[in-house]
Amino acid sequence: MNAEPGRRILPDGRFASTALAILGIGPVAPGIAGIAALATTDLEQSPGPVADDWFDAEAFIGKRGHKYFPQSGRLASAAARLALEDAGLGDTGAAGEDCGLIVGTNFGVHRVLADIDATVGEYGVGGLSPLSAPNFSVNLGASLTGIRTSTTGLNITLTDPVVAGLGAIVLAYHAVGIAGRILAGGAEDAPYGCASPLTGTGVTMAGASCLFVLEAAKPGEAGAMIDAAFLSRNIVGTHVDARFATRLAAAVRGLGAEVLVSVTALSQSLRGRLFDAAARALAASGRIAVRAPSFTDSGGLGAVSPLLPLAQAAHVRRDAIILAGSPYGGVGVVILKCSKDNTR
Amino acid sequence: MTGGVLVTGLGVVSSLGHDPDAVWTTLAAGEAGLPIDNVAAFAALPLRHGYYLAPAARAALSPDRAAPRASDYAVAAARQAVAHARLDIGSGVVGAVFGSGMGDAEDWRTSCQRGVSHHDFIFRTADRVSEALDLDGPSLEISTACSAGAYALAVGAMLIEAGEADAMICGGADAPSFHAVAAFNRLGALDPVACRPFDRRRIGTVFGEGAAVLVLESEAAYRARGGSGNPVRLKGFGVSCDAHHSTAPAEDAIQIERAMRDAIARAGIVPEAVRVAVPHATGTVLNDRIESMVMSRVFGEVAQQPWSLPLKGYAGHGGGMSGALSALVAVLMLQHDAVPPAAGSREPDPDCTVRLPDRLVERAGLGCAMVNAYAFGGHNISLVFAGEPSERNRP
Repeated sequence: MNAEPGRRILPDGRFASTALAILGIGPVAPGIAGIAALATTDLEQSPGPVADDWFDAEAFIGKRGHKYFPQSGRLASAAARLALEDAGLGDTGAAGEDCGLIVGTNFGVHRVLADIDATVGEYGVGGLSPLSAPNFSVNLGASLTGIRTSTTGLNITLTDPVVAGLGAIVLAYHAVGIAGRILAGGAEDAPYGCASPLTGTGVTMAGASCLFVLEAAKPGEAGAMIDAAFLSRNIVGTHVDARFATRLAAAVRGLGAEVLVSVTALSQSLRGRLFDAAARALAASGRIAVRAPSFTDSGGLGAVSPLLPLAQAAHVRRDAIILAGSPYGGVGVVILKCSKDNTR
Repeated sequence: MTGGVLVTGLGVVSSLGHDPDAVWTTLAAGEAGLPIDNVAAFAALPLRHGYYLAPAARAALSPDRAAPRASDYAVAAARQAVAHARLDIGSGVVGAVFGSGMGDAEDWRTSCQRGVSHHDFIFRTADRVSEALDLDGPSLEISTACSAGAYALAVGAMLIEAGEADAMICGGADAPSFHAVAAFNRLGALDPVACRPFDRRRIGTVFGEGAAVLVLESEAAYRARGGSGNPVRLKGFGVSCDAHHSTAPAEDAIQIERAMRDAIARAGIVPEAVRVAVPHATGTVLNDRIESMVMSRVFGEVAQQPWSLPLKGYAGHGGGMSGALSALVAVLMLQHDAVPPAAGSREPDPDCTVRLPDRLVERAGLGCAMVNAYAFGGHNISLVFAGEPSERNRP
């Protein structure tokens, strides 16, 4: 194996190995609007069924300019605003060529596609609005958020099952340098008819977003840091198991004595295997894994699911391992390293 | 990017042919096909033709008629590319990055109509390739609409250069989607005749389908497994976003120009070194005019510009596949040191200031090629490849 994990390349060809500083967090989910609200939310308690119109877009992004947005775009726009405000950057904090946006989604387009199908079936293509017709493309949620924030550095939508939200953080970890500041996270709409085995029993798929403002950490910087982030596959296999374990064990060495472990996966068995892998990696260096249960553990908020525990841990400054596993083999890992101080 | 990453394998499924040699034969002969109307599910749509695969060709690719179409193309092209690269999966860290505009949305739609589920994941192209090839490296699915295949290559290169993988199977795949074709009908963005980029008669695009895959590999990994010669390299990329409009490009084209110039700068070359380009060139009136305007800004007057091969005049607009197909054809042009004629652009628009070949240009002295891809939402990306004629294609 020639690959050397953990290096990051900068635009001038140099490699960087610094962490990413989390400057701001913007969560929007049923019952949660902003990081202060998330900090006091008991994530073990599911909000239960919520009304389809629970999200009041006007309260976050005003009355105008989003009538024809897909719901994932409204939620992401709200999350972007909250994250930038939390970072103290205001409305223009993401504007410009040095800022990028990376958004993971699994269900950002399902409702739009179902509506197109129904409308054309009943009225023909003339029944479609030319203003909302482009929303068939799943990237429009992130694109319209980019327009609202004037983000011209880069704009990428990821769609990997379950992992896409953490994947956005991983990609930001590598792409910081192409853009100096990146808004990364996830945004979801809700597909029609939410009671599904896919999202777990008793879990409400209601749409949500959570974005993080990320920059390369400065030397000696303190605060909440993405210390490592990577993607893997099929960690249960023989040779892969060993490599994944080695990588994970190396990644946790800088963490404190007790580490929160949050796992998102659709099945309990995969959640268990991923938690065990994290616990073993921590135990190998004398650290203790503390389970961080959340109502999103079974993927009820799609790609946003693992991001709420990450956001909460970052806000309260707890070291954490955040994992997400797809039933099809993909695994995302984010290592959060925190210090109580904040040097920014 | 410093030395760039190597392109060590190619695979393709498209209306142009089902392997790179077949694609090159079609292009070199200037044999642009015509769109066909063969998707029964689109009967309710006024314009429904596309550069689609014939049913027999599709059946020959996969015996599993129920396999999701875009993913099926991706797996077939990925298998080709890995075989072409003679890559031993398992000898290093190998991952996959795929771009798709619609994923397997049409298969999802069919499931919904049968009452199966509204909740299935629509985008699983990268997953399915990773499953089929038993990959254990990073797997990512990118959906930046029509630029997704090109973004997949850039991200794959980034992951290799970051040390996350020794090789990445990268590409794009898309299949006919009722939702996309319906929306384009409503937007009046389809040409009822053919895809005619840079042609004065053009009035829109025409969809295509398929998958194109490039194996990207670090130089160290390639040499360590005994690789020889000097494969084409992906030397640089530039990305930007208009942040302007959901469908229309910004008329000042500042961000398109920035993506082109960044790609050239990261490749460590000057604009004059780019001798051929595969432009995005969809056949839509405004997009083609703006792209050609930027080509003039970056490369100068038409006579000074690199050759432009508007590939969609052959294969239509393959959505998320198109940027990867353009990259694959750019590699083929470098390997053959030749530029096929711009079929589909028979009456060049004088407002489109690009240099179009009207015949096969051989011994073209190419060296460097640029690929552009743009998309709904203002995603812009340019890639720069560098290489010399492969041994078997030397004159």
